[in-house]
Amino acid sequence: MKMLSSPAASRIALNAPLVLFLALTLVVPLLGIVVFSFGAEPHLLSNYVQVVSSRTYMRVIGMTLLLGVIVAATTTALAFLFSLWVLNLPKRWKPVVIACIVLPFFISYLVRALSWMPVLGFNGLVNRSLLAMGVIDAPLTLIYNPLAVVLGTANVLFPVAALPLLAAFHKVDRRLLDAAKSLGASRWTTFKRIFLPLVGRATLSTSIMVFAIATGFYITPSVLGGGKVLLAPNLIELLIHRRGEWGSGAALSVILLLIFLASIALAKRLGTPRQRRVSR
Amino acid sequence: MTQSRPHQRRRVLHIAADSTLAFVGIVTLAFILMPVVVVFAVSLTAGESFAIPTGALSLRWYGELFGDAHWRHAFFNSVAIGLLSTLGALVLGLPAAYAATRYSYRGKFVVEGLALSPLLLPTVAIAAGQYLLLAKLSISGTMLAIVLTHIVYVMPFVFIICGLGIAAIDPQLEAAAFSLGASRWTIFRRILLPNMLPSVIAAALLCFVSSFDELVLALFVGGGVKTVPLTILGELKYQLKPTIAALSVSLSLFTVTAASLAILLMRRGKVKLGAVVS
Repeated sequence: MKMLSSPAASRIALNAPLVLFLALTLVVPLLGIVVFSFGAEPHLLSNYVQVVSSRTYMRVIGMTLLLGVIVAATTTALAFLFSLWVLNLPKRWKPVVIACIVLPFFISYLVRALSWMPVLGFNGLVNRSLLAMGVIDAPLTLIYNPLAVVLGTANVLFPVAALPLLAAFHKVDRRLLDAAKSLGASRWTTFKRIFLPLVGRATLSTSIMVFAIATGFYITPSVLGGGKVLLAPNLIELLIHRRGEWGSGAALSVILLLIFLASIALAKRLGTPRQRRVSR
Repeated sequence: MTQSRPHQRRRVLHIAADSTLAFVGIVTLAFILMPVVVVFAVSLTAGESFAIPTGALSLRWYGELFGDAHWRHAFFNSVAIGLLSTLGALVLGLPAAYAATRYSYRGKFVVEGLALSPLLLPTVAIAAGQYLLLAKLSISGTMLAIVLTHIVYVMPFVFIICGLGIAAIDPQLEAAAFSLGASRWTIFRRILLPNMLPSVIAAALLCFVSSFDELVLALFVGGGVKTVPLTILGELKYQLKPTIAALSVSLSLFTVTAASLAILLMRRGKVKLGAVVS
């Protein structure tokens, strides 16, 4: 039974099923979207022209980018401070803290988005406490707005920012920091002149990664936006799936994919942190 | 004496910086764990709505979950889709993950890129394309359609985790078996599979849970097939019930238990392997 002993033949035999399957179920669909995005009438780019000239669509794209930037900035800043804290934590506490940030992965994206309702909702924890304390007279609308979407998305994407940053911070050679200290540098100077240059690129590329993933989020904005905050992925679903408007939906998908690919390329050029698992 | 003043000031600053950092760290942990705590609390409510219990606690929503035919139906659909997608991803992904780990060849980055891209690409874009194709083939709206899209969706886990598992096996073991006349199938069954079993179990678990929780693909290509996330989405439009929290907690407990068992198995496996080698 040495029929596959030639390395080339065995490589083909091992790869063929997966490659054929993915060609059919991933490459063809993505190409299909690209093909559909080019309209036949009145001209090839008419779908794109329709998207770009529509104020509604452009506002949706703008909102998607804006919320993506806000989520990326806040999540990365929070993850940066958090990782700094973990870096100086006693060794036995580190696994506990890391387990804590991975724990929410065991709850689905949908349920994690829903979990904000008992907190921020009309009869939620925050409103009930504020009413009881007499700070407000009537419940506030804390949900179904861009802020709630940012909060929910940042919450879900926090591990995506924190895990690469933790890895980058722990790779920094402690002796460099000690050397600076022994030469009389203050803690702030050591941080600014030694630590920050060493982790700066990783931090920047992590934040771009978070931005790229945030712009593709569907579930969190659709639950916490409650139809009031329309982002690009939600608009795509609305157009293609519910309205059957394939042309503009496909053009919007291609635009979303291009934004995504450009950000990933940028993040990669800045020196990619190890890519972590993310699913939506 | 003249030096101690700035020194003291610096110490105060350090303590202030350290405590601020600790405060931010702990608040962040609370923020990250909030969904877990809230879902667990809601699942124990005695009340009627999806809210944090204020009064008595009860397990009634767990009972409701297992008693409701509507939920049971969605649950069985999701379990079937999860199992089939996991099986499909393993059967298609394992050989390619093996080739990618063991050999270097031209075009390897294409295979890897394809297998890993669903992890990062916007799911909506993939879902839209797959919906288009599956509708053209008129299999949209079936369980098969969801399974096909989910195989693509969970493939990265097989590729990454099993790839790591395969990389940890000494290639000389295979070479030895081969020189002793073992067939490829025997080598796979007797050498590779037992040694990489922990990684296969870990990957299978991740695949199953990801498929079980997946909403966007199922929404696009599922048509009328009711999975658990789609049922939750449907309920969201009317009234949210604490059953969702009970379901989520049950599933998480199942996953955590299974993962711990897998880790335990892995530890025992290592000990056994160590004993054989020494």
